[in-house]
Amino acid sequence: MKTRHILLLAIGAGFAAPAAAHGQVRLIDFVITEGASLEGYLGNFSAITVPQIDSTDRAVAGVGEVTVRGILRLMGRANRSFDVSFDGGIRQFATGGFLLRNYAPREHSGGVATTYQHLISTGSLSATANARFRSIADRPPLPMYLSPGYDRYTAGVSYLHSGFLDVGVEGEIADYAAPKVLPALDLLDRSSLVVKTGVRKVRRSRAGVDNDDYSVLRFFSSYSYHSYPQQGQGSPRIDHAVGAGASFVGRWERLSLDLTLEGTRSRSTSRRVEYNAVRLNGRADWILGGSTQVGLLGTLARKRFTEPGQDALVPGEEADNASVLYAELTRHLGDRVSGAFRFGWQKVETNISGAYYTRFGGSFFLRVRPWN
Amino acid sequence: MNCARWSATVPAMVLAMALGAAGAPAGLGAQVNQAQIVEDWEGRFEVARDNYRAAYQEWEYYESRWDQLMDEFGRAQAADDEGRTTDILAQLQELSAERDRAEGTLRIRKDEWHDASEGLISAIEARIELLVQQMERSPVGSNPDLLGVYNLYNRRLEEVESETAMELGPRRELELPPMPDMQVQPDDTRREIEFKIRSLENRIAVLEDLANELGGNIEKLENRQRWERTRDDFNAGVRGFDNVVVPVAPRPGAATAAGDTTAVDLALEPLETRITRLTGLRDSALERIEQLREKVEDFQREAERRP
Repeated sequence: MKTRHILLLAIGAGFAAPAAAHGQVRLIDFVITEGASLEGYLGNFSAITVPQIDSTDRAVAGVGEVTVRGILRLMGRANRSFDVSFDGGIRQFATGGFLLRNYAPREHSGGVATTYQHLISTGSLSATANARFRSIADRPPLPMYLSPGYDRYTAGVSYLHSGFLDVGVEGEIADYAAPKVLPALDLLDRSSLVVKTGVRKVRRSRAGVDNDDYSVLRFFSSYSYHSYPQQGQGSPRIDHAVGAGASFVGRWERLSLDLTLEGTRSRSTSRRVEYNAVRLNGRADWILGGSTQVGLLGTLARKRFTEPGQDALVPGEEADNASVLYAELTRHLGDRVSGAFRFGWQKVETNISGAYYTRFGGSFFLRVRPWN
Repeated sequence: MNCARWSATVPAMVLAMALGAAGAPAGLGAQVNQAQIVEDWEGRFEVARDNYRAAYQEWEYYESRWDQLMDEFGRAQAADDEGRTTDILAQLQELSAERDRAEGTLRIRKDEWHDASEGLISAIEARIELLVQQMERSPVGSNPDLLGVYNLYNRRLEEVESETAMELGPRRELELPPMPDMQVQPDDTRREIEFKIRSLENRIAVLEDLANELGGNIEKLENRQRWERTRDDFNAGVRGFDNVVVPVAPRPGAATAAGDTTAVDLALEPLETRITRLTGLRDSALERIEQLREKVEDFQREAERRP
């Protein structure tokens, strides 16, 4: 863990130092969030990477969390920008309802992401590099699913030509850093390479000269290569997936809308894990008045393994179907403070035995921007 | 499914898709899209130009009326016609507020037309560059239509450049009207000083209007910024601790390889920059209002001492 923190710090400091020396660094945003939640969990789901067992099918948890998040602009010229965003937080659970013992999971999560964007005469170029870590202590058994800890490094470049054709490539290494007592987590270690291309149509509002409203319709296709060095007996598991889909982004004065529909066909060195999947992601935000805003976020995912009679779980992909819905009502309590209520619900299920888990709950968050 | 076969065929398929997309049909698609962007900017250019011309007409009316009254004032003074002089002074006083207001509006409309013309010129230049690339790839004389379109856009570019250069002149940042260099002269009468005071008060009213308009714009931008930040907060809240991560299928990265760069692609000036610029301008306006008020107080004290 210490190495990871030092690495993240080094990445951030490495980018910030030269710009700071030229007095160019600007803190674009900095927010401190404190939150409290009550959550319920139902179900009889199993996951290979959660060896703890408890025969209960219902549990509850009280949760407290603190996070900080910010964006530093190291360069902000008319045709190019370079931003470093960072976030970090801690979340503590107090659980109830387990038969064996009640758990007290504690999560640490954080990351640094850099984004460089350059507008050139024929289009725009973007480059990103992200480092993200997550750790969890006293991970509980299901039905309380909390994803495992990892170190994840991602880098990518993309180019948008004439506001119409985009191509991009992104690589990622995910290391789940399994402790000795939990070797199954290493099964999730993964290296990925994704190549994407798409075409888009942008429409801007003509209503006024100083109007930023726009909408973008994009059709895209992708190829993904995933390597799981710890899976497969003798030869590592390697997946090749092709995907295609469409997305719509709309920004208007009081409404913002993002929709993505994507289909994936994944084939592998292990026929057991070959599948076809479809996923719909939606995101909407409305301004209800001078100081109130509502956000909605949802996902619908469906997957079918191609092997008839598939009857074994795949590490990290134990579920076939997922439905996720989050709604948040935010009220601004001044220039620097806002309060938010969030309701969340998700249901995850497998086709093998009808096993599932449901997570639902409500949260309250207080967000402070001390240097607004 | 034989995986070795897939290893070879899938990347080839994707490469073919990408090459297909980047080839001739996409080249055509890019041109169509670029033409649409030019068309969008044409619309914004027209709106901005019409607004500027309407503001110019209004300003021109007040300016010519002002010149006319000043001529009459000079003649009345030369003829030592005190009644006529007083009457014209009152009219000038009334007119000066409207004249200053019209001048302020004209400055803002001029700035907006500059913005729109720069956007249109960039869009046409990008379109021309694409046409040149396509012509270079085609055998000489094989596509006369392309040359026609190229000439059309070149002509339009020249039109836009000359139109804006003639009517607007070189680009300058939106700036405040100059501070009036008004002093009390030793031989000024109380009436003349009072006239100067009212002129200063008119200028204060114009600056207050401008500061209010800038304040409204700043508020609008700050609301948009707050809205975007709240959206980011929600996003970070559900993704930060992997709340939305479920064991269904791997999804590398936090975003797609080609991320949402739309704001940059559309060359939208960052909200933070715009807010900083407008806030600076408003602060300067408020500072000038303060200076003018002090001057008005000085003039008032001086007027009381004069016959």
